[in-house]
Amino acid sequence: MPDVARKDAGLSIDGVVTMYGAVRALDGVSLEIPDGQITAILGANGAGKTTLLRTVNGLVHPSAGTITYHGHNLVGAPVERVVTYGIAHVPEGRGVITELTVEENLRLGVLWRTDRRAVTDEGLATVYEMFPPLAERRDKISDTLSGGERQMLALGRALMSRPSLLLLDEPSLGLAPRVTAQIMATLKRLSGTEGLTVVLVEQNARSALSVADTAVVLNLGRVVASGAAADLAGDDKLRHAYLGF
Amino acid sequence: MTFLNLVIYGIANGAIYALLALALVLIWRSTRILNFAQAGMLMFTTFIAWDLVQRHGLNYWLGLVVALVAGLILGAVVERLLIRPVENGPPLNPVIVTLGLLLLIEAVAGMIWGNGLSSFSPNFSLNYYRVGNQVILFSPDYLFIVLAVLVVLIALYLLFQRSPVGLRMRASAFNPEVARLLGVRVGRLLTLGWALAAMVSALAGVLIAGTQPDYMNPNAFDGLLIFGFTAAVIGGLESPLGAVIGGVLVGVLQQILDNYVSNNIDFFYLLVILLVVLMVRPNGLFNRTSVRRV
Repeated sequence: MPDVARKDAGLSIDGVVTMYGAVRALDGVSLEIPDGQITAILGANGAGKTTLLRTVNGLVHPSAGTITYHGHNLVGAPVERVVTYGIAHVPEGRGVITELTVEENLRLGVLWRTDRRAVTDEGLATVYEMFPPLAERRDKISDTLSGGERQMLALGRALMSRPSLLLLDEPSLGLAPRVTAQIMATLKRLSGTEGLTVVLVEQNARSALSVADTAVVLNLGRVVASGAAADLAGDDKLRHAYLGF
Repeated sequence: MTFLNLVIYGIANGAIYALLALALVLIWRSTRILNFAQAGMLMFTTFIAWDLVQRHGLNYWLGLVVALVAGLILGAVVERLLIRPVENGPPLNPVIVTLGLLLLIEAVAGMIWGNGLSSFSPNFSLNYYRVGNQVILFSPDYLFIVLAVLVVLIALYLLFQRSPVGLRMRASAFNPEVARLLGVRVGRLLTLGWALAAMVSALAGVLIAGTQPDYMNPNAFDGLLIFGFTAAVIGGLESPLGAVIGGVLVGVLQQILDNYVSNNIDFFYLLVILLVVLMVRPNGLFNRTSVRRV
């Protein structure tokens, strides 16, 4: 079994139930997400992966259960405050504000910080170094970016806020395998060097398991398996039943 | 010379339509609400300034500042108390609320200041400039109007494009959910947007009230809103630049049609201008968003 129990659990989710009307999108989910690791949340369409992230963020409110991050209660906290606890969210698909320029999107990521004057330039330099295509197009309206560049922009913007926890919703959706691999490699590096905690929601289980330390499999709103990523990837029955490869 | 004069006069009038259109656009693009109460709100703030300046001898500039501040406050209060509760309901609800507010404000103004006509004398002369024997349809007051509108446009441009608050406001307007995820307090910025819009239209109210004697009346500004609305729609309802160009366009076309066709069917012209523009460009002249949607 993995070393989940021994690590500090920064994000703690306990008995969370989230309803969409009469549908239980999350049906009593309990998870401890260890700090400094990449945790993959896997499962089929409708398993509740995205709902889990949106519940953590306050975009939807759970009808039962508790969620805390390093002592901050996240249930009922306004969405706009969650980022101030060090949690950055890269939403699925349209996370980039396409009417703004690349650099404006990046600047937005840091606006909530009181020390933003001190950290903006450094943050921009880091992101541009990490994703050179963004540097070339910094003054372009982000509408003109390709899918991969948009994902880089959304990720870069999240990193601008210097988060301790990064929530990523389907970063590989619609991307070429090469771009996906590049983004996964970036995540792996950040988690290794900066101690960033990453929660990675993915349908593409194979690529997620290749970078994740631990993984959780959701099915119909419940946790059906959790453990070291390597163990889950090696479990043939589980792979066939829930992950489809 | 006549034609040039018409264009000059049209630009001066158009500058005011531009302000009204701008106020409508500021609100529309952040909340998807057309503020029909705008004519009433700017009438009220203009009457406050009029009361202080004409009846109590307050300095004109101070009166103008009072009108602007009153606009800011009125806009914020209206958004918080009346618009916020209906914002996420069916789209017809805010329409009814703003129409109701228009009637209410006009009735209250009538109770306070009466329904007769009053004059708000401008701070600058209304006499037209002359070059030799030639009269130019442009007065020091119109010069002040055009300059004031330019200053407001530049200030708004700097606010929206160059300041952190402006970036937050644009982000909230374009994508509220993502903005909130990035820590932007979207609700506050909606209030600020309404406040700014009401301030811009408060300026328009004071400026237009001075352009002719006996202008002031609780219903005097209703027709203006139609000019502002036409200008905003021509400009695409999304684009502040479009609103300004739409305003000037409506102002100039109005003068030209008045002079060469007939001068008492202004609203008919507006309808024709609207129809023609919407037939050629259904989303207005400057709507970038819809270009992408197609």
